Amino acid sequence: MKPFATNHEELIHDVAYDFYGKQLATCSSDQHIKVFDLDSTTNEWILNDSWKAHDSSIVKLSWAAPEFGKIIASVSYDKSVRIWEEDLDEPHGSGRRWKKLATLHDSNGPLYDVAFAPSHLGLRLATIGSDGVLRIYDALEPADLRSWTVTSEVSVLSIAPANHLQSDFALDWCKSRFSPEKLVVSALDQAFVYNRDSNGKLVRAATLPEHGGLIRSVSWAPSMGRYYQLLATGCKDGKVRFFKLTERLSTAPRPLNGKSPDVDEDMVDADAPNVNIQVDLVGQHDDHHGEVWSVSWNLTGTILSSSGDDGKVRLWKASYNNEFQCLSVISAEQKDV
Amino acid sequence: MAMLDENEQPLKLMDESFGFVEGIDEDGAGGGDEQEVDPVSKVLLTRFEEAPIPPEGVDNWTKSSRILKFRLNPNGVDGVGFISQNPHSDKRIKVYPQETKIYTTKVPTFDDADAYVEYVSNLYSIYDALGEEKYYSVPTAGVINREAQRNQINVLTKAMSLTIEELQSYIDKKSTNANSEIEVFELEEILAVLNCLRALYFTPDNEIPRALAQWINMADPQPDAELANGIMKSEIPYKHPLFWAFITQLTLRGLYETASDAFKQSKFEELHDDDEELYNLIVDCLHLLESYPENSPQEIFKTWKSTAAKALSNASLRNTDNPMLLNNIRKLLQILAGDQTAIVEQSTSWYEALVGLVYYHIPSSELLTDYFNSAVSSHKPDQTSIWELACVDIFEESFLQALRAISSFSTATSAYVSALCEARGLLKGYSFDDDFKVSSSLLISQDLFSTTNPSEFLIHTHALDCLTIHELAPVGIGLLASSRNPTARSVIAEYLPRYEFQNNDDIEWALTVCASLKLPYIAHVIYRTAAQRSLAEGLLLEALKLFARAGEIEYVKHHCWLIFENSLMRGEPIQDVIINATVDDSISIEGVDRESLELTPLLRQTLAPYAILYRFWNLKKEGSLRLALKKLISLLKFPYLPPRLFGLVLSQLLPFVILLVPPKVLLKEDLLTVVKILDKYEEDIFNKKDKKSIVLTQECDELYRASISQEFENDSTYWTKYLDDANVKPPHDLQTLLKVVRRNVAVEIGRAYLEDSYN
Repeated sequence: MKPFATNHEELIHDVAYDFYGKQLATCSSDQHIKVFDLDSTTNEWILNDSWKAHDSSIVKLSWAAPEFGKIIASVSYDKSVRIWEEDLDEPHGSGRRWKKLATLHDSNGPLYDVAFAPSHLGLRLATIGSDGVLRIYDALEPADLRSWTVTSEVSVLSIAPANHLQSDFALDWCKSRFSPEKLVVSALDQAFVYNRDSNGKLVRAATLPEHGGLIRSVSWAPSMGRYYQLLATGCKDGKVRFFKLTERLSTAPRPLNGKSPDVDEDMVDADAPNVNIQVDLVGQHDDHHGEVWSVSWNLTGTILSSSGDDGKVRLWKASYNNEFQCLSVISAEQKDV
Repeated sequence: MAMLDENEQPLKLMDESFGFVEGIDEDGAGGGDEQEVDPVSKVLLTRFEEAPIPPEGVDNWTKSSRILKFRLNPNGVDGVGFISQNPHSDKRIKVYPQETKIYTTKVPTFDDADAYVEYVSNLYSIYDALGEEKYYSVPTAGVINREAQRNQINVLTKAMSLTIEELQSYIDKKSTNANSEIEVFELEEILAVLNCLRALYFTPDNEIPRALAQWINMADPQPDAELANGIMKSEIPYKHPLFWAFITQLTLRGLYETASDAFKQSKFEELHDDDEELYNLIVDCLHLLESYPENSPQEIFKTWKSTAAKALSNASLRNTDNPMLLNNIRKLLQILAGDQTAIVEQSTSWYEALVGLVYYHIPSSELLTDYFNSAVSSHKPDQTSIWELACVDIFEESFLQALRAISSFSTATSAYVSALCEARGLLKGYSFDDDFKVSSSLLISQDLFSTTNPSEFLIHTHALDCLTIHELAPVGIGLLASSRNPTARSVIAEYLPRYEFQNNDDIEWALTVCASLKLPYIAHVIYRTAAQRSLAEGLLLEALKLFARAGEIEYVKHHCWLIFENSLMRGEPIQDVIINATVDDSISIEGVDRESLELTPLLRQTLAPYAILYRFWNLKKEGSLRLALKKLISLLKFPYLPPRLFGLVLSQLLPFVILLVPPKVLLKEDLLTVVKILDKYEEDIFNKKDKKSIVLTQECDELYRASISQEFENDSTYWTKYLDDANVKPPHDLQTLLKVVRRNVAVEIGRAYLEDSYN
């Protein structure tokens, strides 16, 4: 399969597939977003439109579910989230096809990640930025996408990171419609799972352990047919990690002194329902021999991709007993003939 | 490319389900094509086409602040790689064009080619047609049960034959592609295993010898065709040094007809004059081969065998000048007479010996295990041959091992074959997860893969694989829908919204699945998605109907008001003839029957404001200004009119109150009503200082300003045109609009009162 040119003037920070994998949005330091449509007859990606979308590097994109229309959210180092909707009446390549519906300016620092929640939670999105605050926005009237409200703000870090230090942030939602609302947020070298307590407040429910460096990427697997959830992280310490989350409604009262090793009791709201999330690290691999920059799951949560400083993409698949094994490798390096 | 040590085995590009991996040759799976192996993970390595990093350039590339990222397609079997910048590098780097390309790639091991889709679809059809026969029924007493079991075996036998036919057809299609050499090799390995499985468990007893012969002759075709040609084209074939080995191998492999043909063409007749006794023995051999009673009752076989024994006995008594030829004839007759030792000794492989025994010793399925043991004790299976080892597993009833071998090449095939094995009762007693302990059985019941049934596990895994390929999604759904595992339903529920509907048939199919599995909330998601699709295609009425069916009243209202707003901005009915036909009975559209335009009570209600506005335009156009005005005032009075639209509606009043053409269209009662409406709007929204009211006023103002800043064609009937014609400028914002209307209405009221008092 041949590569295709995006013609961004700077390097690309993110590429996001739409819900069906038929459109691709790209964003770059050149402050532009570009959208490409897959021509199903030729299997080629054709430019839909390109436009200047922010006033600084655009670092992450997310598509909303198609039941809300064709909507993209973008975040930038200019501290804003912007929501875009495709206007089918405007011609391709006109620079006007994607209309800005909203600009959300709540972050005190550059934003690093944005993700629309799964559609059963409504039109909702989460952001995380260098201020270490997780913000949840809701379109209270899904039919009107111009109006967004911050419905939750949670400080993931007790102190915002110092500007001169390296930092990284990422988040992803639990996609299962049969599991209560949850998301994973990574800030620096820590990753936490948040869920809602009985008052609907977002609370920290678990910690993903053992990271030895900045977490570069987190990805929550679609949980088709599994009783547990799977997550993966890519870390500066060179490891791809796989976590298994098992959620149990506890019948016993929450212990006053005893601590569950994987439940951060200090951060759990006293009113939270007795839902214990047990986190098991089910695999960690350092095959990349260097930093791991991205991890992403396939549709069924059966294959994970990871990319790293070895210039390779590794595809991982679980065996019957959840042992993840590298299935194949795709290299970005030309063959030495 | 790293070279592997002898002991360092690369991992096989596989195992989808069983949790085992196997070594492969570094040059691939034996197919001969060069395949690269990743030195770290020991798995197959492929490269992005036109890969951006120069050879041996990864280190430099990383040092120059580049990083590699990758995204898997959330709805397919491909992904994209791209080069990004290390977030901690603040230096500005020179970017080359190839660095802003997107590198697309398929996920290796997943095939979405047309031939594969067709193959899997056909295998699924065979599986689906099994119906209840796909479940193993424990044998019980009774005539009816025995009959039912026989029927089931017949159905399964046929299904296995069809499965093999499909595999053969798939191989044929793949063979036409020069790049599929390795895949064809792997599929042929599977074919060999399936033929063995069929011969032993999916074949009527009397046909087993023939099925076994077919199996080995397809898996390892011998004697070599070139050798055969060499022998048969020699001057006197029967004198060729390899002639008798050739005949023996044909005979052992159940190819007795070919052997008899070879005899006939071997020019052995010349012996008649030289050595009549030897000649007669060859004639005996020929007659025996020609009369082999395949597929006959035991008594007939016994008679044939005694004839062979007699011929062997005749050969034992002979003395001849040609002892080597006599010896060869004896050896052949020993085989035909069913001499076990001779058969095993003269065979070149365990499977050849096995077929020889089953053909010439006693053709009985009950003796197969003995034959197998005898064959493998003399001829060790080739430990490097996957099909041979898998077939040994089948003979040893290690069916799971055999399925693993199949799975290593094709998880789809292994899934369907496992279902046939399961139904045939071959997998009973297997428990997949003896070491799989989960404290809560409740959790297991919520898991598609925590099954003790290997076939179910393979089918479920295959079903999920199918879901990642759009064309095979119906197969995946079908497999899950027929699963006895309750979790399968939730998987369908998770997946269906991701299915990209190409047309209405797709939507109907998805809705049927929802209905049959009682998934109303998923049906709503599908309706909403379909509604958005219709909106994108400009099919407004269809979209509204779908939103309504999804129970999304707010969306219906929102879009009905958008229709209303669009019409106001245009100053005439919207351009959607279908929507207009729903509010105007006089419109008929070719090819659209009136019934399809019937509205549900909800749609009638939500489209009612547009229906009134539509009447307003028509009445105004007809010159029925009094009636038109009534419609307009009723809209202004409508308590649910979105406040943002108030300015747009009110502006329609301007020509009446400013130009007063024709005079006295506005009666005193109307004027007073307008005042009340203005009072209410100002009191409820315009004069309020809360955030919500301010936003509503801003929106209303923006819309009004947009409406007056529009440029229209010359023949526009937009209200601003009337004012333009009279050299009157429209109020420039909402506030002025309110003032102008109020002032003009007040003047008119004053005039009306004065007229009243004079009259």
